[in-house]
Amino acid sequence: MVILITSDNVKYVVEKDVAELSVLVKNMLEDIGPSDEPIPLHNVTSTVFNKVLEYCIYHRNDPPPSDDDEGCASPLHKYLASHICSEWDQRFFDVDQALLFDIILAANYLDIKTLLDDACKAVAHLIQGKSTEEIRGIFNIVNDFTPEEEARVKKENVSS
Amino acid sequence: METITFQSLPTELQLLCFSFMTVESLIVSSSVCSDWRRLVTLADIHPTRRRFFYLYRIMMDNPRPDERALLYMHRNLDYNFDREAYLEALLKQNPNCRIPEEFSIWVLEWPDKLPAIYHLRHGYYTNATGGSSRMYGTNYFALKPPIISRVVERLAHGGKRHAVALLIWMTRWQELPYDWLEQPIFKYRGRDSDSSLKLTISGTDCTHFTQWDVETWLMLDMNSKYYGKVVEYPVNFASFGGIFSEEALGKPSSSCPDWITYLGSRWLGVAPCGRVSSGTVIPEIVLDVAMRRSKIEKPGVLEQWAPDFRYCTSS
Repeated sequence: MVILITSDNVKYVVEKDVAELSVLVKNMLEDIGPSDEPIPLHNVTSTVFNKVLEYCIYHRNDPPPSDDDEGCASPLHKYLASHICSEWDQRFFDVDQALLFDIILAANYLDIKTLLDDACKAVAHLIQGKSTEEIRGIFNIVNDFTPEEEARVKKENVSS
Repeated sequence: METITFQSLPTELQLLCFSFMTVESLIVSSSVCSDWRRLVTLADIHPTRRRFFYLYRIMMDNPRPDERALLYMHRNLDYNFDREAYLEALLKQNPNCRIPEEFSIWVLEWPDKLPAIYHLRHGYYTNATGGSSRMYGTNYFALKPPIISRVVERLAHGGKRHAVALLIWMTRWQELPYDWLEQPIFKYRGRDSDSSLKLTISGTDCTHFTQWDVETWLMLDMNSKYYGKVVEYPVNFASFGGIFSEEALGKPSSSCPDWITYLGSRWLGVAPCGRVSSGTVIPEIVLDVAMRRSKIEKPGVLEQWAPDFRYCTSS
Protein backbone atom coordinates (compact mmCIF):
# COMPACT_ATOMS: atom_id res chain seq x y z
CA MET A 1 0.00 0.00 0.00
CA VAL A 2 1.10 3.55 -0.76
CA ILE A 3 -0.09 6.66 1.03
CA LEU A 4 -0.67 9.71 -1.14
CA ILE A 5 -1.65 13.18 0.05
CA THR A 6 -3.28 15.66 -2.33
CA SER A 7 -2.69 19.41 -2.25
CA ASP A 8 -5.83 19.95 -0.15
CA ASN A 9 -4.50 17.50 2.44
CA VAL A 10 -6.71 14.52 1.70
CA LYS A 11 -5.02 11.22 2.42
CA TYR A 12 -5.38 8.25 0.05
CA VAL A 13 -4.27 4.70 0.70
CA VAL A 14 -3.70 3.16 -2.72
CA GLU A 15 -2.53 -0.27 -3.82
CA LYS A 16 1.02 -0.17 -5.09
CA ASP A 17 0.37 -1.38 -8.64
CA VAL A 18 -2.33 1.26 -9.09
CA ALA A 19 -0.18 4.06 -7.68
CA GLU A 20 2.71 3.03 -9.88
CA LEU A 21 0.73 3.74 -13.05
CA SER A 22 1.96 7.23 -12.27
CA VAL A 23 5.59 7.39 -13.36
CA LEU A 24 6.10 10.27 -10.93
CA VAL A 25 4.94 8.18 -7.96
CA LYS A 26 6.85 5.13 -9.20
CA ASN A 27 10.10 7.11 -9.38
CA MET A 28 9.51 8.62 -5.96
CA LEU A 29 8.91 5.18 -4.45
CA GLU A 30 12.12 3.95 -5.99
CA ASP A 31 14.01 6.96 -4.66
CA ILE A 32 12.82 6.76 -1.08
CA GLY A 33 12.92 2.97 -0.86
CA PRO A 34 10.67 0.96 1.49
CA SER A 35 8.98 3.46 3.79
CA ASP A 36 5.57 4.36 5.19
CA GLU A 37 6.07 8.06 4.51
CA PRO A 38 3.11 9.59 2.69
CA ILE A 39 3.88 11.00 -0.73
CA PRO A 40 2.67 14.55 -1.30
CA LEU A 41 1.06 15.40 -4.63
CA HIS A 42 1.46 19.17 -4.66
CA ASN A 43 -0.34 19.97 -7.87
CA VAL A 44 -3.41 17.74 -7.58
CA THR A 45 -6.57 18.42 -5.60
CA SER A 46 -8.72 15.61 -4.20
CA THR A 47 -11.56 16.40 -6.65
CA VAL A 48 -9.27 15.73 -9.58
CA PHE A 49 -7.41 12.91 -7.87
CA ASN A 50 -10.69 11.02 -7.34
CA LYS A 51 -11.10 10.94 -11.10
CA VAL A 52 -7.48 10.00 -11.73
CA LEU A 53 -7.75 7.17 -9.22
CA GLU A 54 -10.99 5.91 -10.79
CA TYR A 55 -9.22 5.76 -14.16
CA CYS A 56 -6.14 4.02 -12.77
CA ILE A 57 -8.16 1.39 -10.94
CA TYR A 58 -10.24 0.64 -14.03
CA HIS A 59 -7.17 0.43 -16.29
CA ARG A 60 -4.77 -1.23 -13.80
CA ASN A 61 -4.62 -4.48 -15.75
CA ASP A 62 -4.34 -3.00 -19.23
CA PRO A 63 -1.38 -4.33 -21.18
CA PRO A 64 1.27 -1.65 -21.61
CA PRO A 65 0.88 0.11 -24.96
CA SER A 66 3.07 -1.38 -27.65
CA ASP A 67 3.84 -0.29 -31.18
CA ASP A 68 4.75 -3.65 -32.64
CA ASP A 69 1.31 -4.96 -33.57
CA GLU A 70 2.37 -5.18 -37.21
CA GLY A 71 1.23 -8.23 -39.06
CA CYS A 72 -1.68 -9.31 -36.92
CA ALA A 73 -3.97 -6.34 -37.43
CA SER A 74 -4.60 -4.47 -40.63
CA PRO A 75 -3.46 -0.85 -40.69
CA LEU A 76 -7.10 0.18 -40.61
CA HIS A 77 -7.86 -1.69 -37.44
CA LYS A 78 -4.77 -0.36 -35.79
CA TYR A 79 -5.89 3.08 -36.81
CA LEU A 80 -9.41 2.68 -35.47
CA ALA A 81 -8.22 1.15 -32.22
CA SER A 82 -5.93 4.06 -31.54
CA HIS A 83 -8.56 6.70 -32.14
CA ILE A 84 -11.79 5.48 -30.65
CA CYS A 85 -12.10 5.47 -26.89
CA SER A 86 -14.05 2.68 -25.21
CA GLU A 87 -17.56 3.26 -23.91
CA TRP A 88 -16.28 3.36 -20.36
CA ASP A 89 -13.73 6.01 -21.33
CA GLN A 90 -16.39 8.05 -23.09
CA ARG A 91 -18.54 8.07 -19.95
CA PHE A 92 -15.54 8.73 -17.78
CA PHE A 93 -14.57 11.83 -19.77
CA ASP A 94 -18.13 13.11 -19.98
CA VAL A 95 -17.37 15.83 -17.41
CA ASP A 96 -17.35 19.60 -17.51
CA GLN A 97 -14.52 21.24 -19.37
CA ALA A 98 -12.69 22.64 -16.36
CA LEU A 99 -12.44 19.19 -14.78
CA LEU A 100 -11.31 17.69 -18.10
CA PHE A 101 -8.48 20.22 -18.34
CA ASP A 102 -7.65 19.59 -14.67
CA ILE A 103 -7.39 15.88 -15.45
CA ILE A 104 -5.02 16.69 -18.32
CA LEU A 105 -2.82 18.80 -16.04
CA ALA A 106 -2.87 16.13 -13.32
CA ALA A 107 -2.08 13.33 -15.77
CA ASN A 108 0.79 15.39 -17.10
CA TYR A 109 2.11 16.14 -13.59
CA LEU A 110 1.70 12.55 -12.39
CA ASP A 111 3.09 11.30 -15.71
CA ILE A 112 0.32 8.85 -16.64
CA LYS A 113 0.71 8.63 -20.39
CA THR A 114 -2.46 6.68 -21.22
CA LEU A 115 -4.68 8.99 -19.16
CA LEU A 116 -3.06 12.05 -20.69
CA ASP A 117 -3.59 10.72 -24.23
CA ASP A 118 -7.16 9.64 -23.56
CA ALA A 119 -8.07 12.98 -21.99
CA CYS A 120 -6.60 14.84 -24.95
CA LYS A 121 -8.55 12.56 -27.28
CA ALA A 122 -11.65 13.56 -25.35
CA VAL A 123 -10.85 17.21 -26.05
CA ALA A 124 -10.37 16.44 -29.75
CA HIS A 125 -13.71 14.63 -29.59
CA LEU A 126 -15.43 17.78 -28.25
CA ILE A 127 -14.46 19.56 -31.45
CA GLN A 128 -15.38 16.78 -33.88
CA GLY A 129 -18.08 17.84 -36.31
CA LYS A 130 -18.32 21.36 -34.90
CA SER A 131 -18.14 24.57 -36.88
CA THR A 132 -15.60 27.31 -36.26
CA GLU A 133 -18.25 29.42 -34.52
CA GLU A 134 -19.31 26.52 -32.30
CA ILE A 135 -15.71 25.81 -31.29
CA ARG A 136 -15.23 29.46 -30.33
CA GLY A 137 -18.35 29.13 -28.20
CA ILE A 138 -17.27 25.87 -26.55
CA PHE A 139 -13.85 27.14 -25.51
CA ASN A 140 -14.76 30.78 -25.13
CA ILE A 141 -12.22 31.82 -27.75
CA VAL A 142 -12.18 35.29 -29.27
CA ASN A 143 -11.83 35.58 -33.04
CA ASP A 144 -8.68 37.68 -33.31
CA PHE A 145 -8.07 37.56 -37.05
CA THR A 146 -7.33 40.80 -38.85
CA PRO A 147 -9.78 41.68 -41.63
CA GLU A 148 -7.30 40.40 -44.26
CA GLU A 149 -6.79 37.11 -42.42
CA GLU A 150 -10.50 36.88 -41.83
CA ALA A 151 -11.17 37.13 -45.55
CA ARG A 152 -8.79 34.26 -46.24
CA VAL A 153 -10.10 32.18 -43.37
CA LYS A 154 -13.68 32.69 -44.55
CA LYS A 155 -12.74 31.47 -47.98
CA GLU A 156 -11.32 28.23 -46.69
CA ASN A 157 -13.86 27.62 -43.98
CA VAL A 158 -15.57 24.31 -44.54
CA SER A 159 -18.45 24.97 -42.25
CA SER A 160 -19.68 28.14 -43.92
CA MET B 1 -9.23 29.02 -7.73
CA GLU B 2 -9.29 30.26 -11.29
CA THR B 3 -11.12 28.02 -13.74
CA ILE B 4 -8.83 26.36 -16.22
CA THR B 5 -9.53 26.94 -19.88
CA PHE B 6 -8.05 25.37 -22.98
CA GLN B 7 -6.03 28.53 -23.57
CA SER B 8 -4.48 28.30 -20.10
CA LEU B 9 -3.09 24.81 -20.70
CA PRO B 10 0.64 24.69 -21.42
CA THR B 11 1.32 24.82 -25.15
CA GLU B 12 2.65 21.27 -25.29
CA LEU B 13 -0.63 19.96 -23.85
CA GLN B 14 -2.67 22.01 -26.29
CA LEU B 15 -0.56 20.54 -29.07
CA LEU B 16 -1.21 17.06 -27.77
CA CYS B 17 -4.96 17.67 -28.09
CA PHE B 18 -4.45 18.81 -31.69
CA SER B 19 -2.49 15.67 -32.48
CA PHE B 20 -5.62 13.55 -31.99
CA MET B 21 -7.86 15.57 -34.29
CA THR B 22 -9.39 14.24 -37.47
CA VAL B 23 -8.73 15.85 -40.84
CA GLU B 24 -12.00 17.79 -40.66
CA SER B 25 -11.31 19.05 -37.14
CA LEU B 26 -7.83 20.19 -38.16
CA ILE B 27 -9.22 22.12 -41.11
CA VAL B 28 -11.93 23.77 -39.03
CA SER B 29 -9.56 24.44 -36.13
CA SER B 30 -7.18 26.36 -38.32
CA SER B 31 -9.80 29.06 -38.77
CA VAL B 32 -10.81 29.45 -35.12
CA CYS B 33 -8.23 32.06 -34.08
CA SER B 34 -4.65 33.01 -34.86
CA ASP B 35 -3.27 30.88 -32.00
CA TRP B 36 -5.03 27.77 -33.20
CA ARG B 37 -4.04 28.45 -36.78
CA ARG B 38 -0.41 28.37 -35.68
CA LEU B 39 -0.83 25.36 -33.38
CA VAL B 40 -2.35 23.20 -36.11
CA THR B 41 0.81 23.57 -38.16
CA LEU B 42 3.03 22.80 -35.14
CA ALA B 43 1.22 19.81 -33.69
CA ASP B 44 2.55 16.29 -34.08
CA ILE B 45 -0.26 15.19 -36.38
CA HIS B 46 -0.57 11.75 -37.95
CA PRO B 47 1.50 12.16 -41.14
CA THR B 48 -1.31 11.07 -43.44
CA ARG B 49 -3.73 13.47 -41.81
CA ARG B 50 -1.16 16.21 -42.24
CA ARG B 51 -0.91 15.43 -45.93
CA PHE B 52 -4.68 15.76 -46.23
CA PHE B 53 -4.53 19.03 -44.34
CA TYR B 54 -1.99 20.35 -46.84
CA LEU B 55 -3.95 18.90 -49.74
CA TYR B 56 -6.84 21.00 -48.48
CA ARG B 57 -4.61 24.09 -48.32
CA ILE B 58 -3.47 23.44 -51.88
CA MET B 59 -7.09 23.17 -52.97
CA MET B 60 -7.95 26.45 -51.30
CA ASP B 61 -4.93 28.20 -52.81
CA ASN B 62 -5.90 26.95 -56.24
CA PRO B 63 -9.66 27.30 -56.24
CA ARG B 64 -11.78 25.80 -58.97
CA PRO B 65 -14.86 27.90 -58.70
CA ASP B 66 -17.57 25.77 -60.19
CA GLU B 67 -20.81 26.56 -58.44
CA ARG B 68 -22.81 24.24 -60.61
CA ALA B 69 -20.60 21.25 -59.96
CA LEU B 70 -20.85 21.95 -56.24
CA LEU B 71 -24.61 22.27 -56.45
CA TYR B 72 -24.83 19.06 -58.40
CA MET B 73 -22.71 17.29 -55.83
CA HIS B 74 -24.74 18.51 -52.89
CA ARG B 75 -27.90 17.39 -54.59
CA ASN B 76 -26.56 13.91 -55.23
CA LEU B 77 -24.31 13.23 -52.29
CA ASP B 78 -25.41 10.63 -49.79
CA TYR B 79 -24.95 12.35 -46.47
CA ASN B 80 -25.75 9.19 -44.53
CA PHE B 81 -22.94 7.25 -46.13
CA ASP B 82 -21.57 4.76 -43.59
CA ARG B 83 -17.85 5.29 -43.92
CA GLU B 84 -16.68 2.59 -41.53
CA ALA B 85 -19.03 -0.02 -42.99
CA TYR B 86 -17.64 0.77 -46.43
CA LEU B 87 -14.09 0.00 -45.36
CA GLU B 88 -15.11 -3.09 -43.41
CA ALA B 89 -16.93 -4.37 -46.48
CA LEU B 90 -13.81 -3.86 -48.57
CA LEU B 91 -11.58 -5.72 -46.15
CA LYS B 92 -13.92 -8.69 -45.95
CA GLN B 93 -13.71 -9.45 -49.64
CA ASN B 94 -10.27 -10.93 -49.86
CA PRO B 95 -7.53 -11.94 -47.43
CA ASN B 96 -4.92 -10.17 -49.56
CA CYS B 97 -6.83 -6.92 -49.38
CA ARG B 98 -5.19 -4.18 -47.35
CA ILE B 99 -6.49 -0.66 -47.41
CA PRO B 100 -3.76 1.94 -47.79
CA GLU B 101 -3.83 4.41 -44.94
CA GLU B 102 -4.28 7.37 -47.29
CA PHE B 103 -7.43 5.80 -48.63
CA SER B 104 -8.93 4.78 -45.29
CA ILE B 105 -8.38 8.20 -43.74
CA TRP B 106 -9.85 9.80 -46.84
CA VAL B 107 -12.95 7.66 -46.66
CA LEU B 108 -13.34 8.11 -42.91
CA GLU B 109 -12.48 11.75 -42.53
CA TRP B 110 -12.72 13.84 -45.68
CA PRO B 111 -15.64 16.12 -44.89
CA ASP B 112 -18.81 16.01 -46.94
CA LYS B 113 -18.86 19.78 -46.97
CA LEU B 114 -15.60 20.07 -48.85
CA PRO B 115 -15.54 20.56 -52.59
CA ALA B 116 -15.24 17.36 -54.55
CA ILE B 117 -12.13 16.56 -56.45
CA TYR B 118 -13.96 16.07 -59.70
CA HIS B 119 -16.23 13.11 -59.41
CA LEU B 120 -14.23 11.29 -56.76
CA ARG B 121 -16.60 10.88 -53.87
CA HIS B 122 -17.87 7.96 -51.97
CA GLY B 123 -21.57 8.34 -51.37
CA TYR B 124 -21.85 10.10 -54.72
CA TYR B 125 -23.58 7.48 -56.72
CA THR B 126 -23.97 9.09 -60.04
CA ASN B 127 -22.73 8.67 -63.53
CA ALA B 128 -21.81 12.24 -64.18
CA THR B 129 -20.89 15.40 -62.39
CA GLY B 130 -22.43 18.71 -63.22
CA GLY B 131 -20.98 22.09 -63.93
CA SER B 132 -18.12 23.07 -66.16
CA SER B 133 -15.81 20.49 -64.59
CA ARG B 134 -18.28 17.82 -65.61
CA MET B 135 -17.01 14.31 -65.89
CA TYR B 136 -18.85 11.51 -67.61
CA GLY B 137 -18.40 8.01 -66.44
CA THR B 138 -19.28 5.79 -63.58
CA ASN B 139 -18.21 6.33 -60.04
CA TYR B 140 -17.61 2.74 -58.97
CA PHE B 141 -16.10 4.02 -55.80
CA ALA B 142 -19.66 4.71 -54.65
CA LEU B 143 -21.01 1.20 -55.16
CA LYS B 144 -22.56 -0.08 -51.95
CA PRO B 145 -21.16 -2.35 -50.81
CA PRO B 146 -17.87 -1.64 -52.57
CA ILE B 147 -16.66 -4.40 -54.84
CA ILE B 148 -13.08 -5.29 -55.45
CA SER B 149 -12.02 -6.97 -58.64
CA ARG B 150 -9.03 -8.91 -59.66
CA VAL B 151 -6.64 -7.67 -62.25
CA VAL B 152 -3.75 -9.46 -63.90
CA GLU B 153 -0.30 -8.32 -62.89
CA ARG B 154 2.97 -9.33 -64.49
CA LEU B 155 5.62 -10.46 -62.05
CA ALA B 156 9.13 -9.07 -62.21
CA HIS B 157 10.65 -12.46 -63.12
CA GLY B 158 7.98 -13.21 -65.75
CA GLY B 159 4.71 -14.99 -65.15
CA LYS B 160 1.45 -13.47 -64.03
CA ARG B 161 -0.66 -13.35 -60.94
CA HIS B 162 -4.06 -12.08 -59.97
CA ALA B 163 -4.12 -9.05 -57.75
CA VAL B 164 -7.07 -7.42 -56.03
CA ALA B 165 -7.84 -3.83 -56.86
CA LEU B 166 -10.68 -1.37 -56.49
CA LEU B 167 -12.15 0.18 -59.59
CA ILE B 168 -12.58 3.82 -58.77
CA TRP B 169 -13.83 5.45 -61.88
CA MET B 170 -14.44 4.73 -65.49
CA THR B 171 -14.86 7.42 -68.06
CA ARG B 172 -16.70 5.84 -70.91
CA TRP B 173 -17.82 8.61 -73.15
CA GLN B 174 -18.17 12.34 -73.32
CA GLU B 175 -20.36 14.94 -74.87
CA LEU B 176 -23.61 13.40 -73.75
CA PRO B 177 -26.57 15.72 -73.92
CA TYR B 178 -27.56 16.94 -70.51
CA ASP B 179 -31.03 15.29 -70.49
CA TRP B 180 -29.47 11.88 -70.46
CA LEU B 181 -27.32 12.36 -67.46
CA GLU B 182 -29.94 11.10 -65.07
CA GLN B 183 -30.26 7.85 -67.02
CA PRO B 184 -27.65 5.46 -65.77
CA ILE B 185 -28.62 2.49 -67.88
CA PHE B 186 -27.38 2.37 -71.40
CA LYS B 187 -26.51 -0.31 -73.89
CA TYR B 188 -23.37 -0.63 -75.93
CA ARG B 189 -24.08 -1.53 -79.55
CA GLY B 190 -20.59 -1.68 -80.98
CA ARG B 191 -18.66 0.91 -82.84
CA ASP B 192 -19.05 2.85 -86.06
CA SER B 193 -16.38 2.72 -88.73
CA ASP B 194 -15.00 5.99 -87.42
CA SER B 195 -14.62 4.46 -83.95
CA SER B 196 -17.35 6.48 -82.36
CA LEU B 197 -19.63 4.49 -80.13
CA LYS B 198 -23.18 3.37 -80.74
CA LEU B 199 -25.21 3.39 -77.60
CA THR B 200 -28.82 2.84 -76.71
CA ILE B 201 -30.03 5.16 -74.03
CA SER B 202 -33.57 4.90 -72.75
CA GLY B 203 -34.59 2.93 -75.81
CA THR B 204 -33.20 5.44 -78.27
CA ASP B 205 -30.25 4.50 -80.46
CA CYS B 206 -27.55 7.09 -80.42
CA THR B 207 -24.23 7.32 -82.21
CA HIS B 208 -21.30 9.66 -82.63
CA PHE B 209 -19.95 9.84 -79.18
CA THR B 210 -16.39 10.90 -78.92
CA GLN B 211 -14.78 8.25 -76.84
CA TRP B 212 -12.47 8.98 -73.98
CA ASP B 213 -11.52 5.94 -72.06
CA VAL B 214 -10.01 5.99 -68.65
CA GLU B 215 -10.20 3.34 -66.00
CA THR B 216 -8.83 4.35 -62.65
CA TRP B 217 -7.81 1.69 -60.16
CA LEU B 218 -6.53 1.64 -56.65
CA MET B 219 -4.40 -1.40 -55.92
CA LEU B 220 -5.35 -3.04 -52.64
CA ASP B 221 -3.30 -6.22 -52.95
CA MET B 222 -0.68 -6.32 -50.23
CA ASN B 223 1.49 -8.59 -52.38
CA SER B 224 1.45 -6.36 -55.42
CA LYS B 225 4.24 -3.97 -56.21
CA TYR B 226 1.52 -1.49 -57.10
CA TYR B 227 0.03 -1.71 -53.60
CA GLY B 228 -1.45 1.63 -52.55
CA LYS B 229 -0.89 3.14 -55.97
CA VAL B 230 -3.45 4.64 -58.28
CA VAL B 231 -3.22 3.30 -61.79
CA GLU B 232 -4.94 4.62 -64.87
CA TYR B 233 -5.05 2.66 -68.06
CA PRO B 234 -3.07 4.47 -70.69
CA VAL B 235 -3.87 4.11 -74.38
CA ASN B 236 -1.34 1.35 -74.97
CA PHE B 237 -2.78 -0.81 -72.25
CA ALA B 238 -4.75 -3.14 -74.52
CA SER B 239 -1.81 -3.96 -76.75
CA PHE B 240 -0.07 -5.36 -73.70
CA GLY B 241 -2.98 -7.67 -72.99
CA GLY B 242 -4.49 -5.58 -70.24
CA ILE B 243 -1.87 -6.69 -67.79
CA PHE B 244 -0.60 -4.45 -65.04
CA SER B 245 3.05 -4.14 -65.90
CA GLU B 246 5.56 -1.38 -66.41
CA GLU B 247 5.46 -1.76 -70.19
CA ALA B 248 1.69 -1.66 -70.35
CA LEU B 249 1.34 1.30 -68.01
CA GLY B 250 4.27 3.09 -69.55
CA LYS B 251 5.83 3.85 -66.20
CA PRO B 252 7.29 1.98 -63.23
CA SER B 253 5.16 1.37 -60.16
CA SER B 254 7.37 3.72 -58.16
CA SER B 255 6.17 6.68 -60.19
CA CYS B 256 2.47 5.84 -59.89
CA PRO B 257 0.86 8.25 -57.43
CA ASP B 258 -0.58 7.20 -54.11
CA TRP B 259 -4.13 8.28 -53.27
CA ILE B 260 -3.30 11.73 -51.91
CA THR B 261 -0.91 12.60 -54.71
CA TYR B 262 -3.52 11.43 -57.18
CA LEU B 263 -6.23 13.63 -55.66
CA GLY B 264 -3.87 16.60 -55.63
CA SER B 265 -2.88 16.13 -59.26
CA ARG B 266 -6.51 15.76 -60.25
CA TRP B 267 -7.45 18.94 -58.46
CA LEU B 268 -4.68 20.82 -60.18
CA GLY B 269 -5.72 19.37 -63.52
CA VAL B 270 -2.58 17.35 -64.09
CA ALA B 271 -3.07 13.91 -65.60
CA PRO B 272 -0.96 11.90 -63.20
CA CYS B 273 -1.20 8.39 -64.50
CA GLY B 274 0.03 8.40 -68.03
CA ARG B 275 -3.16 9.08 -69.92
CA VAL B 276 -2.13 10.40 -73.27
CA SER B 277 -5.04 11.67 -75.28
CA SER B 278 -8.71 11.54 -75.87
CA GLY B 279 -10.56 10.18 -78.84
CA THR B 280 -8.56 6.98 -79.03
CA VAL B 281 -9.97 3.62 -79.99
CA ILE B 282 -11.31 1.97 -76.92
CA PRO B 283 -9.73 -1.42 -76.24
CA GLU B 284 -12.12 -4.33 -75.81
CA ILE B 285 -10.65 -5.09 -72.47
CA VAL B 286 -11.82 -1.75 -71.19
CA LEU B 287 -15.31 -2.22 -72.52
CA ASP B 288 -15.49 -5.55 -70.84
CA VAL B 289 -15.07 -4.18 -67.37
CA ALA B 290 -12.99 -6.09 -64.92
CA MET B 291 -15.89 -7.17 -62.78
CA ARG B 292 -17.32 -8.97 -65.75
CA ARG B 293 -13.91 -10.14 -66.75
CA SER B 294 -13.45 -12.06 -63.53
CA LYS B 295 -16.53 -14.05 -64.46
CA ILE B 296 -15.26 -14.82 -67.90
CA GLU B 297 -11.93 -16.08 -66.68
CA LYS B 298 -11.88 -19.09 -64.41
CA PRO B 299 -13.75 -17.70 -61.46
CA GLY B 300 -13.00 -20.19 -58.68
CA VAL B 301 -13.57 -18.63 -55.30
CA LEU B 302 -13.38 -15.24 -56.92
CA GLU B 303 -16.91 -15.75 -58.22
CA GLN B 304 -18.40 -14.08 -55.20
CA TRP B 305 -16.73 -10.78 -55.98
CA ALA B 306 -18.25 -10.61 -59.41
CA PRO B 307 -21.57 -8.85 -59.04
CA ASP B 308 -24.44 -8.75 -61.40
CA PHE B 309 -23.19 -5.71 -63.17
CA ARG B 310 -26.09 -4.04 -64.90
CA TYR B 311 -25.14 -0.49 -65.51
CA CYS B 312 -23.38 -1.19 -68.74
CA THR B 313 -24.32 -4.22 -70.78
CA SER B 314 -22.62 -4.95 -74.04
CA SER B 315 -24.96 -6.57 -76.53
